[in-house]
Amino acid sequence: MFCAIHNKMENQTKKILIVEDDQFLREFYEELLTAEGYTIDSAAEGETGLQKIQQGGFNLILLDIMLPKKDGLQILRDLKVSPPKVANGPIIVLTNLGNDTIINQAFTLGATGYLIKSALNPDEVLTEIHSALAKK
Amino acid sequence: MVLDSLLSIIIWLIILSNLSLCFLVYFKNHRNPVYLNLSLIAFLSSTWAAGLYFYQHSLFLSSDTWLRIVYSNVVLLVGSLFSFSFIFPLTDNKTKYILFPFIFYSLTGVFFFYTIIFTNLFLAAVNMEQNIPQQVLGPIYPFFGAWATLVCGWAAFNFYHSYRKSTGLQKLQLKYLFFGVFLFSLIPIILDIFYPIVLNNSNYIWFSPVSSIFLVGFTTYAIIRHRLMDIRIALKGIIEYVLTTILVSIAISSGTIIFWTLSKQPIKVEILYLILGISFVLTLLFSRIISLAKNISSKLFFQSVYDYQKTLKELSASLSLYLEMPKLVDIIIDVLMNTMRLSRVAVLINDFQSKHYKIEKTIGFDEYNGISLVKDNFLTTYLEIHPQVIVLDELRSVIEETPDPNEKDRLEQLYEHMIHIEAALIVPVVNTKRVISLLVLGNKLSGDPYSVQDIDLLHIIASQASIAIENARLYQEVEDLNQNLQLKIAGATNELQKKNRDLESAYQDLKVLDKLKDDFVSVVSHELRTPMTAIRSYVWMALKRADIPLSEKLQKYLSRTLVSTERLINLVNDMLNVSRLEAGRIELHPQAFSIWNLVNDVLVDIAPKAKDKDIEINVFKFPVPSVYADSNKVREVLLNLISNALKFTPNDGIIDINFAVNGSMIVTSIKDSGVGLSRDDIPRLFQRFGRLDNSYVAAATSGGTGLGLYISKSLVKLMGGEIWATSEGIGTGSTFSFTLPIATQAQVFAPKPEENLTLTQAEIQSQPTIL
Repeated sequence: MFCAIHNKMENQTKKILIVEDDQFLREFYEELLTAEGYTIDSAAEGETGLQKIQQGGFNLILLDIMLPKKDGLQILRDLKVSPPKVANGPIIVLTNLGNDTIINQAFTLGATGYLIKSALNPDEVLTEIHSALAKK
Repeated sequence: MVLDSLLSIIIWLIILSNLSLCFLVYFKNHRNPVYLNLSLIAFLSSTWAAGLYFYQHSLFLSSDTWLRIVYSNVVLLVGSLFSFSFIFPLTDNKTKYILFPFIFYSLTGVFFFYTIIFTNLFLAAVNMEQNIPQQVLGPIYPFFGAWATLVCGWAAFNFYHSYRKSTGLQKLQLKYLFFGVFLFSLIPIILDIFYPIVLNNSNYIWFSPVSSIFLVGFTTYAIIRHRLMDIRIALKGIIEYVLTTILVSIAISSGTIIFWTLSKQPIKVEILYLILGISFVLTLLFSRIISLAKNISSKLFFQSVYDYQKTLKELSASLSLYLEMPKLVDIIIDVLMNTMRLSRVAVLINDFQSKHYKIEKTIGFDEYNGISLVKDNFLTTYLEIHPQVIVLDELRSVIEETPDPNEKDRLEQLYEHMIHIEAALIVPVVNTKRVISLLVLGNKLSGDPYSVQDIDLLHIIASQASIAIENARLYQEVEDLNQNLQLKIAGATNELQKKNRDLESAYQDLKVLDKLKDDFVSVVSHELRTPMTAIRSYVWMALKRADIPLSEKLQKYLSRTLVSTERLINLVNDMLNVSRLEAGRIELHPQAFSIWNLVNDVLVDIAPKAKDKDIEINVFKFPVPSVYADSNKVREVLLNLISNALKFTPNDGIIDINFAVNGSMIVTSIKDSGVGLSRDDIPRLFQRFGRLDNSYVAAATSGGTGLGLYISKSLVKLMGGEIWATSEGIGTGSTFSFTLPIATQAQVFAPKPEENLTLTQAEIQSQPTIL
């Protein structure tokens, strides 16, 4: 049982972008977060992801590192060069790599947090996302 | 008449010599004031002599005019000598004092000039007596004489003063100058001043310039040559010549006079002068004539007239040029063949390594023949005892005088040998009492025996050769050693290079393997975990979403699936951690932090699990100083240990977390009231997959991987601490402890690196949420 901590109505105003190449995981996040009442958009590879981020207007972005066409770190670099037209909320990096170097790089490039996908159960993911959204 | 001619010849020689010296000095260096002044002196001396000659022979102008010109010349000449004494040698002190003498000379000089040219006070008149001019001197003349003497004396004094103060080459130069000035002044003083004034005889004034040749000659020699003979040697040479000439001339003229007197013939002065002149010339050329005769006669009679010193000088010069044995031996053989005109020569070198002689070069001997002399060691040993030249002609008497019968026999053999191969001489070349070489000489081409001088020369040649040959030998040794060394070095270098290449390729292989491993780890990290995450996520959703109805069975099956998936994920994570730990790829980011805070942090995460089992966790408040470690890694260790404690403690249990300070370390202990450990269990705890026998049940429900403690131990060790477990026994619970270093002041106040936001830390920074 998971508890809907936040008012679903409140959540409806929040837009979240999920950039994840694995279909199952991506659709899982979509389902999970839609059920929470968030408005979800997604991209399955780096270039589309970058475009959507640059269009802007998201309250939160979940960005996978290992992506086809353009990886997460490159997207972050490109964002530094050409920032989004409309501002976005925090960017949380998703990864299964426990590599410190990559995580550090992500932070240097502007990510606010990271999740190790395999380490967390969906409850914990939700907690993290809620707190990230609330932080703003 | 003859005398007159002779004297004229001499005077003209003087004029020409002075002029040539003047040009010589001028062209040597006409920028140097010393040289300029000296050439001026030479020039004025020659014009003085010329002027007097013209005066005496009344050529071109009247004698009166010439004489006036001559006296003016003398004033200038005296002045040039005077100035020379001030400018040579150049020292600073003199320049200060030049002003007064200069003024003095200028004033007096001008005065005398005036009186010479425009008045009759200096020179009253010139009278012609029998076509020979005679001067009548005026009242000023004695003053002039005094003045000239004074000035020349002053100049001489200057030279003497400089002579006293100088050293080395300059001193020698000044000695020459001094002598020159002395003679130069002495003769004119006698002929030009003393004779005319005191004896009223002016007949010799025109001869006085002869003295100039001394001054000019000595001075030019002194200035131009860089290395001067000692003046005594120079004077000695001159005096020898002069004495010889005088003695021979006197002898010849006395002889002639006696002959004439005895034969009652009149003494013809002209012939006497002629004979004197010829004897004079002959004496001068005498030594040259003798060496010419010697050369001719020696060429006629094949005599090896050689110049000892010259031969040796050339030999040493040549020997010192080379270090290669063949070249040296060539030189020695050349010298021997050429100076002594030999028919045969052989040079044998003693090779100490093989203890045999080697024929380095022979001319005229058969190789075999030369070597046969040294077939055994007899000759060498004999020569080392008697380091003499063995002369065939004398060998007979040496044999007869030898007491030892063995030696006698051997010497007889040697004698036969030498006759057989036509060797006349054996010269040992000895160095530090060892025979290093033998020179075997045949007869001279002329057939003459070897003279005492020859043997002496050979001794000297042998000693020179000994040094050269020894040097060549040593040089050869050094060369050989060098080559050897180089070969060895080349060999060693090759081997090293080969090893290097092997190492390099092994390294490349390792790098490839390493990369493969890295790739593998990445692949496993990502590729393996992605589907696992998907499985877990969907199973979780299936279980947890309220809008999906599930039967009990399905619930159970899905639960187990979820648990198994969690276990799998944990196992993969742990194995990846272990792999990274073992490869040393774990980066630590140590900082100073409070472990108490971290523990409480971890407990927040753990709280739900603890609540599920109703286990109470207590953290003892303790004023713990900061530790210096990687907080993320410490968090992992704490999670591991506390989870274990929870796993192995039954419901309603207690877990106590304690701290202590031990030296420079902080001890953190986690004590549980769980199943405890037996003594056998403890050693295996921190190994990989070290499972406890009775723990499968707990493991199945809690998802342990068997790697947790191993990872914790590795991490704690990396951070400089220790980890251990204690237990009273089964059923009494266990205590797991680890140590971490206390942060130093510097570490506490070091700027904190940006903290990696882990999950729960981000949570802490946000608004508190209720789980």
